[in-house]
Amino acid sequence: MVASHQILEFTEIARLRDCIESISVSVVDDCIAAGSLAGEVAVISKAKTLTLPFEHDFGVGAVAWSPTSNILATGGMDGVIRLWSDSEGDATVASGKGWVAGISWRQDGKEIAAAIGKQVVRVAVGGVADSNESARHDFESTATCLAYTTNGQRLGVGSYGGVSWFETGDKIVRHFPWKGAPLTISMSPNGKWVATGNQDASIHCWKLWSGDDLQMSGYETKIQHLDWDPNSRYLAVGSVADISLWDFSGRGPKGSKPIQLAGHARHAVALKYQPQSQLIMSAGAEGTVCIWRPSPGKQSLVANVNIGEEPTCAVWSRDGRSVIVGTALGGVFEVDAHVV
Amino acid sequence: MNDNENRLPVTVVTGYLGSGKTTLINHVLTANHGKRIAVIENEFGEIGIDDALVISAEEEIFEMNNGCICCTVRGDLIRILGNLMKRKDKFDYILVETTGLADPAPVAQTFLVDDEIRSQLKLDAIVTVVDAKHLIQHLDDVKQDGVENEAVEQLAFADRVLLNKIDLVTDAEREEVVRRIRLINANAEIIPTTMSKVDLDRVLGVGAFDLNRVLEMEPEFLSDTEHQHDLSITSVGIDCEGEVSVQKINEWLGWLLGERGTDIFRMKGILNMWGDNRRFVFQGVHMLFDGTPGQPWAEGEARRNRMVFIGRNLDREDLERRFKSCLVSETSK
Repeated sequence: MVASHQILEFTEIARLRDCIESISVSVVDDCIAAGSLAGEVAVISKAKTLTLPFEHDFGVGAVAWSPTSNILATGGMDGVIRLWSDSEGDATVASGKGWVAGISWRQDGKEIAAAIGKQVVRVAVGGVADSNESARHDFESTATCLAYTTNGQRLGVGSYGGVSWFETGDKIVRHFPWKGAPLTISMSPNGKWVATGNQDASIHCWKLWSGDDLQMSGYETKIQHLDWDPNSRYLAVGSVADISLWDFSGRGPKGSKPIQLAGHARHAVALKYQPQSQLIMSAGAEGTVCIWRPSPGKQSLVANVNIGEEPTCAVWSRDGRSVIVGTALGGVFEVDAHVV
Repeated sequence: MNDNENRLPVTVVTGYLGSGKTTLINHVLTANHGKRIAVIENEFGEIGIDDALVISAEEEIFEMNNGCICCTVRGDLIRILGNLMKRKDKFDYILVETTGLADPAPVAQTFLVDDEIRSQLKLDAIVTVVDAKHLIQHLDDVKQDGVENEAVEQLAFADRVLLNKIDLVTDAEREEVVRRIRLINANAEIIPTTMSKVDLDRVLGVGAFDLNRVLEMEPEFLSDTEHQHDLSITSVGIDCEGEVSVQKINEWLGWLLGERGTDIFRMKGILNMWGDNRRFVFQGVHMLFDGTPGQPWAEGEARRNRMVFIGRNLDREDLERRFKSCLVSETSK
């Protein structure tokens, strides 16, 4: 039997000068922000595409829209964090030595945290012109990834040696030690687990309150993409060719076999559950964007398309009806992901 | 290993403080070769060249434990090289300069372990720049117990040794310094220079980590019977006839890398496997091993097993005896 799945339509919506390093979609008007390694940031709305009036020297590292307003945070290889909004313009709110590896907004939209080289910097955000650095902490090693807990009370920062936790202020209130180099971090929506994807081709998970941990290793490559399903039952892990889903219900994933989703020829460059659904979007370096509905024993691939360029990042639109994909050649594509 | 040759070559430049590394890099950047070169160096230098990119890095060493293999890699290099590979701006060569006190192993291992880097970049050669006038003094530096002599380590890892500041030594001094280098690393090509001026073909695009070129290994040192028992880092060459049992060599190499991997800095060789008319070529850095069947042996060619180990506290007799026990005996064929 030939498995059938839907082939998706896609359109190019912008072209930047170099590889798209980061993409974000705003809560207000579904505006898309894309940052490239040439340093420019484009804001793409239904009405127009705007190139922001500043650049990050040597490339953009991260773009992230506020979860509550129309403020965009950007960071780059110049070690600078800027805020921008269409009405207020832009302002530098923090800087440091090293590249910006990530920017995370607290859920209330009143604080951002950024990993800049070996530092994590936090900024209290009022408006673009009304934001001030509130804390800064030096790590021994590069801060590679960061995320707030679902309730916004703590900030977790991954660097070589484990995950460090902050409340307000610059002191580490807790540390989950582990001798390894995390590359990405993801909190389960129910606030129970934190997982890191690592350089040594493993994932490491900790129970947030007890600190009990477990590790799944033996992947073919380093793990750069993780995401939890909205019910916090499955942890999706992107590796080469396969996406694996670990079941954290009941006794947890220890000793179990993950659900495997095979549909990519090369490594994953994006992996994300659709907001409030069990659909998963994945993009592989070979050019394919896939939509999955994992169902054991049945075909999980619902739809896919090859966009003809190497994707480097991808996110869902706010309404979950399309996937915005950035490519190595600077392309920004909108894939119509409305599946039947 | 992925040997599709679209991979971009990376040359690692090591050398003790003041040996002439930066001068070499300046020479590479300013020489009229029409190549686009990216340099990853340890501190901001004063190099500003139109057609090149110079990025500063701060050495960040990660220990990686993956099953039975443990090794160290440079986390900073993984990030920088990964970023460089994504750009539209493409280069012909990448040079990585290490600090004067760096152990070259994590740099080399980065290119062998990280899958993303391995698929796009290949380690071309480790070039060690030494100061002909002061090398012996650095080699003889007495370190505290447990502290490595970096000058010795950097020589042990080298594929090419730039014997720099050669104009500052007498012929006799030069002979002695070459002899000392050879005791540590019998395999590297030694190139005398002044002001690090070298024909770039001899240091770029060398292919020292290319398995296909292990064959070009010069076996001349094998006749060198000079021993210096008090030297902790040495080269051991083995050259013998016979056919190798796949099972036995696997067992032995597995044991050797597991037990002695931290002491073996580099190894490479060509083996005559029983039942295979192709040469088996291999190379390794500490516990990382890479081997593959290569070209068939030529008609009438003497099928000799040749290999070289460079490392700490190597016991020539023991290595040779254990290797010979991997040979298929006439009776068991």
